[in-house]
Amino acid sequence: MPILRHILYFLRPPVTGFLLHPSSPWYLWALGVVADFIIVGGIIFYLLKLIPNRGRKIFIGIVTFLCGAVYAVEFFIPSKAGKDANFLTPLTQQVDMVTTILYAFAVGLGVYSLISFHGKKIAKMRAGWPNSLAFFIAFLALMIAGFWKDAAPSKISANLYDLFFKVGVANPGATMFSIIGFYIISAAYRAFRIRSAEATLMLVAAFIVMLGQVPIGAFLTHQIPNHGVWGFFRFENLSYWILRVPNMAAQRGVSFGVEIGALAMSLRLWLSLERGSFFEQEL
Amino acid sequence: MNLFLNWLEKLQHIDSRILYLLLAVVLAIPLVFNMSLPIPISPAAQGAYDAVEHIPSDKIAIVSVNWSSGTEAENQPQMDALIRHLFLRHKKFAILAFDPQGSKFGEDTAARLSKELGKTYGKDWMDFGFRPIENMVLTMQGMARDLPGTLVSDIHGTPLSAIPMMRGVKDIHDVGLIADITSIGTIQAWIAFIYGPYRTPLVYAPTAVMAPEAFNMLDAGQIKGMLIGMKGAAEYEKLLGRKDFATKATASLSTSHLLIIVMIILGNVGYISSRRRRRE
Repeated sequence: MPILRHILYFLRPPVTGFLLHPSSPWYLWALGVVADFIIVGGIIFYLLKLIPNRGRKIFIGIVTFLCGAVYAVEFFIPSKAGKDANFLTPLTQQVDMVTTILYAFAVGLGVYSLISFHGKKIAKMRAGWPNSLAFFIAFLALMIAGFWKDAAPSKISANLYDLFFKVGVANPGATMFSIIGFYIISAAYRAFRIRSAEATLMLVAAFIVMLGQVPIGAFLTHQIPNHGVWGFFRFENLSYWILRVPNMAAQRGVSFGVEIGALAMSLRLWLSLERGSFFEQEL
Repeated sequence: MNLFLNWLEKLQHIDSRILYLLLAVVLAIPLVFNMSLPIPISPAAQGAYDAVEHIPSDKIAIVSVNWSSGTEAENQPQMDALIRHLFLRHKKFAILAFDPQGSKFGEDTAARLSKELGKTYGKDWMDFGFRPIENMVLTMQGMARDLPGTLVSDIHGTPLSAIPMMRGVKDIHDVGLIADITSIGTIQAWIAFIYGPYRTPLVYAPTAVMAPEAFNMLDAGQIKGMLIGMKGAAEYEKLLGRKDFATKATASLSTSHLLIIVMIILGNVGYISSRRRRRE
């Protein structure tokens, strides 16, 4: 909390920046943040409303370009002697902070949408409403236990939080993920067919890597001496070679392709050239 | 002959429930009967072990815990082995999590092993707690230049200046190793923002499915070593001279992989015989 106070004091919005001091009581700060949000947010939204629809797109394009330019230019300008930063580095941190705030809104939106979706389901007793009720129970139980643990640290509050974490989060999460193993065996059994020479090659490589990744592979070929030319044919060595040579070449190729694609996509977004989906919607 | 071919063809349509049952059985048997198989040490695991061994005594290590319960089976044994090694070699380390669940797992593991090995919080290890992943790049860049100024306090809210092992830790140059135990793509950021500009050694402990992508980084020397899923954890346990969960569970991995291979072969036998019959 003290950091937040210093940040707000530094940014100087009307209430928290001028009327309050970092040493002011917390409830005044809480009220100040809400007041600033309403005043600054209200002004920004009012100004945005004044701009015509087409102008809003241009405005957003300019802001996007300027924020992107901060990173692009900062990367190419050499650092000051003996330092890891140039004059634009502090500005990138400010832009990062804005991004973090936007992400925080997304968290709030996520919680709101979960509560709204499951709340409506329970209220209208739609099919599967007990699952929605289970969501609310788990959500509230873990939230209350978490806040209690932080607000009043004790053995009871810590144990309760641990219990809810293990029962409500850790164990169900691990169980859900481990079920994938059962689908993998079914999918591998049905999908891996030697329909072509390429498929056969892939199957052989997959068998070697699979066996090389588990001790039984080493056990099956442990009679082969680990040194000299023949050592290469032990499953663990052959598997490691496949991963280190052909796999790496393929991964590098894929990575280059992906990165060039990402660069092109970033440029399109940065220069507001992207079209389609929500980019074309009226603001 | 026809009856035999019919039977072979049926091999490509085995009911999923039978497969599930077989998998459950082959997974359980090695755990119940405590089967043990030889575990060869890969160069990747050896590299990770050596990197921990070579942390300078005046520097701390950072254990970056970025996984959640879904990958507990793979990442938990990796974390156990790495933290145990750090404790055994008296290397001071700090937990830093970009995953809220990872923070809890990291704290619990370090606290448990600390108790077992008689270590003290604040002197031998500490916990930065959870930092939002959306802020990851900012956190990395900030801690590289001013670690106490960026991370400010530990998980309990204690200022870093009040934690004995953090005295003298100013920036990334006081960090001798970063171990990224992860189920997401955090290693790319560690390489871009920490290894690239500062050459801080990195050790990578991903899930097995993520490992093939990391061989480029291993080959380029951007990561000093890698623990490939649970098998990597088992190799690390062997290097530590221990037989913990990963060592026992790799026998289950072995039998399940064998089952998958056998089932794929059976499926193909059925497929080939039905193809031959259609040709005839």
